[in-house]
Amino acid sequence: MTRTVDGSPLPAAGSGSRLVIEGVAYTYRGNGAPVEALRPIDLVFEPGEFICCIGPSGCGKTTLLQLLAGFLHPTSGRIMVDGRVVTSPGAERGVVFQQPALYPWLNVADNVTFGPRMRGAGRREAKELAEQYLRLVGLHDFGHRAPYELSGGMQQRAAIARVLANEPQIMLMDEPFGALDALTRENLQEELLSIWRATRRTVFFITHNAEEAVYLGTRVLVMSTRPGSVLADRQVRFGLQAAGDPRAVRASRAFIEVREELMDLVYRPDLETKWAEPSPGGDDADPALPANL
Amino acid sequence: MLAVVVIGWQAIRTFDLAPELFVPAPGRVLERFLVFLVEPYQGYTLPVHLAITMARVLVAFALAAVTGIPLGLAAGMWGPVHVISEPIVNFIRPLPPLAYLALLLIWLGFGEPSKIALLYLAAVPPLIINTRAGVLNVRWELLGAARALGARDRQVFLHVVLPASLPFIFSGARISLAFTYTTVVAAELVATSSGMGFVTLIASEQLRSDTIFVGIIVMGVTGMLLDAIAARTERRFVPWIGRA
Repeated sequence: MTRTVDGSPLPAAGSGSRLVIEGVAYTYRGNGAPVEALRPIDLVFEPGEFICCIGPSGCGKTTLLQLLAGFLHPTSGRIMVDGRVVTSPGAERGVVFQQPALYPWLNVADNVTFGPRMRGAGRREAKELAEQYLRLVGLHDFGHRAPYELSGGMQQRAAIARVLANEPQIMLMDEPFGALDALTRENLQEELLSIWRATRRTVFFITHNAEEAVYLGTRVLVMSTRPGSVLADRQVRFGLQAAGDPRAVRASRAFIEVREELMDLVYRPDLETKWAEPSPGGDDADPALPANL
Repeated sequence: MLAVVVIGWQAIRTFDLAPELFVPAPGRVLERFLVFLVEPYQGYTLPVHLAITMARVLVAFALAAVTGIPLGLAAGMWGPVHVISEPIVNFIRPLPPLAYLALLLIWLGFGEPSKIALLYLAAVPPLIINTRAGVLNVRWELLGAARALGARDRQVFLHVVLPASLPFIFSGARISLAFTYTTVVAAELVATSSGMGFVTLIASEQLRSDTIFVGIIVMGVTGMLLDAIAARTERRFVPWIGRA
């Protein structure tokens, strides 16, 4: 296994699935000219890794996540979870969106148990799961509330609980904290880390915040501008450490060095042209509704 | 506001700004209203005429809802259903209902079925169009989240598409109900012997302006009540409108 930044080995493998990306490329074919979003990518996500993906706007991060989720089909190549080729969305790959996407016609508890109930959980089991996972994300007093009665941060907690309650092998998170204020974001980062440390499921986490990526991940992928490819693939270990003082970690020299190095990779190559380019079909634009939804 | 209208109305009478036939005094209209509540005119008392009108509206609206909503859902889910239904809906929708009433009278006779059919044709297009729009406007994250949580197609439809379409379905229902109500009065002007529209028409032929006023005010207030009930029902079933 690869060395971490400070030279220590990664801890024992987690309980998630092994995910293999083999030559996966994606080209959007809309009404205009085809847009190449992803160049062929080869990656392996080991069980229990916390992979953070950063890159400029429109670099294909979200496209990659949607391919992993099964919302999109690769134009070429294939994605495998524990040896099985991904052809559609599946319960073993949970997705947390940038906007919480909770169901306003269900209360928070029913949102959290949506997956288990769809897959046949009885009323009693659902009630226990709701209690367990709402407690885990600090929402145990809010189960009977409507999602829109909660703050943005609480809604995102509920969305995370909804995915956790479904016990996926891999959590795919698309800038889940991007729309939150800094304080809420830092609180949720700590909560996510402690949940991940306890469960050790594989996490694929998109952000455009290098600090967030370095702080949370055991591994950071840096993607290039469109068409997206992987510029750097680094092991880190700040998120692995037992809960210390988050601010001290972020202020440490080792942390800042890694962060700056990765930010250089994101920003420095062709700085002038990067921002001038429009990004049709980029990762901030809604891709056309995938046919298999 | 109501007080201003009534005072202005009474002023017209007090200063005799218009003939009594054109604008009867508020007191006379009120008196006529009270008498009409218990004394039949054109065969029935006011409550019975109103009940007949409301029954026509509600039967036609209910038929339109139980057929139009499923059709709108189907048109939203499957392209071919939309391709077939769209031209028919778009042909009927802009037609003034009275334009095809003559045909319906020939086909279905002068009884209730022709009136219900007319109202049904008025009621159904907004339901189909809005329901389909509701299906097409479901945020794709809501569908994607359900699929990624392990929901099957049928479950996605029942537990996500259907409830997520409710705001559009309700707004379609409110438009439909209002249009059906507008149409019923027009329908009752032709070939009927009961209902609020009929009573008002006969009153005008007999130059009974107090009864015309009673008819118009009762129809207006009833229409407002109908929409208020629809709005309450909407808030009860889709409390998240505008909040999520």
